[in-house]
Amino acid sequence: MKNQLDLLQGTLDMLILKAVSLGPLHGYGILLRIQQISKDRLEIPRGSLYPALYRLEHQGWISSEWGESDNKRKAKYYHLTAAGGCKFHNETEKWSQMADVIEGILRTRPEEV
Amino acid sequence: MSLWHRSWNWLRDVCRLSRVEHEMDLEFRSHLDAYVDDLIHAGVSPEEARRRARIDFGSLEQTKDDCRNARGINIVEAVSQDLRYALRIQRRSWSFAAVTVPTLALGIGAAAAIFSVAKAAIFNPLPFHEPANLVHIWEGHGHYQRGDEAYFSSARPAALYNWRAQSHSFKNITAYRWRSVLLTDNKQAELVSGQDVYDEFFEVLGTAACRGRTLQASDYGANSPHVTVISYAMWTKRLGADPAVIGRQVSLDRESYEIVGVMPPGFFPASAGRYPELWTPHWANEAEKEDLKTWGLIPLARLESGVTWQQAQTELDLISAHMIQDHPDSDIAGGIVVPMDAQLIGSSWKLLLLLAIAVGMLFLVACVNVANLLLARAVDREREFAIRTALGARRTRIVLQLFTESIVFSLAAGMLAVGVAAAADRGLLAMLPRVAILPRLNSVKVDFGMLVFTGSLTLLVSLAFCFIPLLRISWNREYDALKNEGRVFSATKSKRRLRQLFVVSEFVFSLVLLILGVLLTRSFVKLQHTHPGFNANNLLTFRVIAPEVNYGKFTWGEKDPRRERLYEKIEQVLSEVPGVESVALAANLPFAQNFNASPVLVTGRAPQLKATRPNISEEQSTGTQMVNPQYFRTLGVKLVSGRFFEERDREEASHVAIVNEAFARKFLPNEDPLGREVTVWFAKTIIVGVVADFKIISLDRNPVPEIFWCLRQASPPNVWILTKGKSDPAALGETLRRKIQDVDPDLPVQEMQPMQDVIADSLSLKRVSATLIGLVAVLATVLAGAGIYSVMSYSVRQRRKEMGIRIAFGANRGDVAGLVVGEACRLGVIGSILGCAIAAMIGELATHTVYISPEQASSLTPESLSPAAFIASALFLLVLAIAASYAPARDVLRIDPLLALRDE
Repeated sequence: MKNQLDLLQGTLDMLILKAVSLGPLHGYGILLRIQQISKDRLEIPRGSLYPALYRLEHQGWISSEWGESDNKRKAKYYHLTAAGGCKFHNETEKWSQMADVIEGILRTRPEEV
Repeated sequence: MSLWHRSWNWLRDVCRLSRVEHEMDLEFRSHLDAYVDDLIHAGVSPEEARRRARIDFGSLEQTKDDCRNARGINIVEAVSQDLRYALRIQRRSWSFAAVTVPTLALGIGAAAAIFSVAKAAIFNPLPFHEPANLVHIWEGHGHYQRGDEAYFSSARPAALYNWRAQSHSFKNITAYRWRSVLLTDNKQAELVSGQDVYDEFFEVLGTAACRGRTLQASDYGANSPHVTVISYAMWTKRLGADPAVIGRQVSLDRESYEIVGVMPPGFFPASAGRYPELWTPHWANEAEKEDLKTWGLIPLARLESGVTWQQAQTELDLISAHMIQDHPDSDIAGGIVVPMDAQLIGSSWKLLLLLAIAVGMLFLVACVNVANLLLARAVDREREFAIRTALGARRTRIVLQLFTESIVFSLAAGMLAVGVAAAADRGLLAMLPRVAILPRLNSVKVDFGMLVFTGSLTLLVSLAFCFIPLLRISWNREYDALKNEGRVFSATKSKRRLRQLFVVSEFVFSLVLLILGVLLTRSFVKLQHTHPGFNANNLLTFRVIAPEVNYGKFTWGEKDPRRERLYEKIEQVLSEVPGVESVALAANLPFAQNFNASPVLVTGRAPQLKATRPNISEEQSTGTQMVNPQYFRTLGVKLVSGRFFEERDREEASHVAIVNEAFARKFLPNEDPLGREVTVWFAKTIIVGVVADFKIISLDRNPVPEIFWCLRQASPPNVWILTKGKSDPAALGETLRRKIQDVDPDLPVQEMQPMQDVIADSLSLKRVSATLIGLVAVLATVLAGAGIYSVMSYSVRQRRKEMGIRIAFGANRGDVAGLVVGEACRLGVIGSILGCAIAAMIGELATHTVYISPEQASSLTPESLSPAAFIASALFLLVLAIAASYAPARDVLRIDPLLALRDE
């Protein structure tokens, strides 16, 4: 567990959007999906998942409906809305640009300055 | 996502809070269950799995709270909590509510009452289509400027048709003429006030009938059937709201008219306090279109769209300039364009402004009182807030709680205020209609606009009040507050400053009001004792209108022998009544009529202006009166030189006139006026007598030039009759009325009242303003007294310990008590100086609102800046302040130093 990374500020929303973009999921499912995709290298801070979900739903990026889980339990499934899709697309774009820039800066060698 | 969407989500969540809670619970439980299942699956014991799931999930309640926050529904929960708490607090300290709620209600209610009067008189749109495009056109020279007093100088038909033919600024121009119509529908003949309207009248105003139709083009014509449109008031009051009123016949001036329409209520406020009851079409024949003799037309016009009234004025000026160029002898005058709203509102806004200022100050005094109580309470609650903050309450949460609390009592006050305002409106309506300058008062009521005003004022107040306790809370020193409890000796300097500010401001506001009240009352009382220059004792006045149908239409310069005979008969019959000493007849009643001005031209002297053009400027003009020979004797006016009118002054003789001294001084200075010829109202007349000046327009104006003609030389359509009795004139009233009925049963006797009452009525604006401002001043003073008392007694309570120490160290108790009174005095003196300064600034405005400008005023009035009023008011308030601090100071004398130091 030591090699887990702390989540960067503000990236949880993006991860949630990504997770639900692959198909409707309940809260626990989202948690598992993120861990699975990140190969257990990311840890979602305790108690921050649901507030983020509620916020995203309130803002209209995702919406929810009640359904039944695999083991016949009632669960609330979240899925991406059309607006959320756009938002996710934009965020991804922005993120990769940002990552490029940051990486470029960090890899700069003294002679390049 | 749009804000709208988010708000919708929020609203939906708020509306089903319990469901949201339930779903949240369900969702988290299902999460935990799924996790536990997975753990068990991985081989963990059920017990351990549940434990670990709980730990990994984190605090359930915290997460729920965060989720609620994420959706913004937390605030609802908090508010409902605060609301319950606030109500509980109010119940616990009911004495606080018992003082603050009525105080605030008084302040808000008074403001709302004035607001609703202003709304009805000024802000409400006129009951016409696009009222901004409507203008009056008066005949005359000069210009109207915004803010002026409105003019009332009627026009002649020729001017109307001239404007119609030549101007392009107006969509259409029409006119009306007041007429008194003899309504003989019921058994008794009644005279009702109606308007004879020219074509396109209803098109110009653009108001539709509420039943039937308005007048149309086919109603105007030499042979058109007689039709009339009636007012809502006439329909409901005189015709019993007959549902089949359209098509009904009424007898007007003994001719049958068909009612074709009923206008909506409130149509139309022709001038302050005067509403017509019916409209009849007036068809002008060709001869009338050139009539330059008949005045009394009131033209109305609708501006072409995009044309301002100033542009229309420029065009009318050009037209009249051309007329003068082309026909130097023509008698057509220019037109003065006055916007309809300005005409109707006139200068009434000044009185309302004065009332608004006064009521605003009362409101502020009320607010300061409440603020002071709130501040005192905040000190008592300091520990409560400190504990809450220490326990982790956020500032916003505490502010929210304070706001909820202040909303609760402000709301109670606001609701009470609506009742106060409704009652105050009723009182104002009983007083104000006598003051004929406020138009459309009949629409004053508790309506949506007033509720909105009261509501927003309440909200504003509660917002302001929620910050008062915050001044007390020392955010960063909550531990100090806890620690210091019971060890603070006296309030810190800044906090005492605030309370001192309260006392001073209460002083200032109530002093200003008191001074205004005293000024207005003194001016009024002084005016009331002014001698009018004639003897008003035992004079009974009333009006007789000679109906056109029986006595002919009135045209200037032409007389009707029927009217002449009627007046002679009346004079003769009344003089024979026992108890009547003499009978005066006059076209105008002193103190009841407008200034009927005409330019003056002295024969043999170069004209200062074209005498044939009526000019509204009072510079070159004189008032004109028509009186019978007995007039001066009846009024007890002295003859200075020459003679009074005599029996020989018949119309066949050359026109003779009597002038007053002011006339002689102004137009014939240093000359003998007797025998001089002057031209007034386009007619030459010879002065045969000069009488002493007496006041004829109002008590507060110096006598202006007046010229008197013999009534017989031109018989007006209605006369005022003044009878001098031997004793109380009221007793004669019925006899005189019967005598008039004997002469002609159709002659209505109107507005019968003693001259003393006429004079009193002419002062009603002054009386009403003095009463209202005085009342507000008394209320403000009472509130201020209570406020100063509560501040001082609170201050004593706070300084108890300090004073206890002083006494323990041997200070004289009297000296310590003197500290309290001394503070009140010091603040009082500062307040007095400030208050006097402000009162000096607005005293001028106040008196000029109610009294005429100083140039026209006689030397007696008004006293805008009488030092006595200032000193007396300030001293009175100082005594009040000392009295208010006396009781708290007495408490000091009873302080037991041991107890004071030990308690808490």
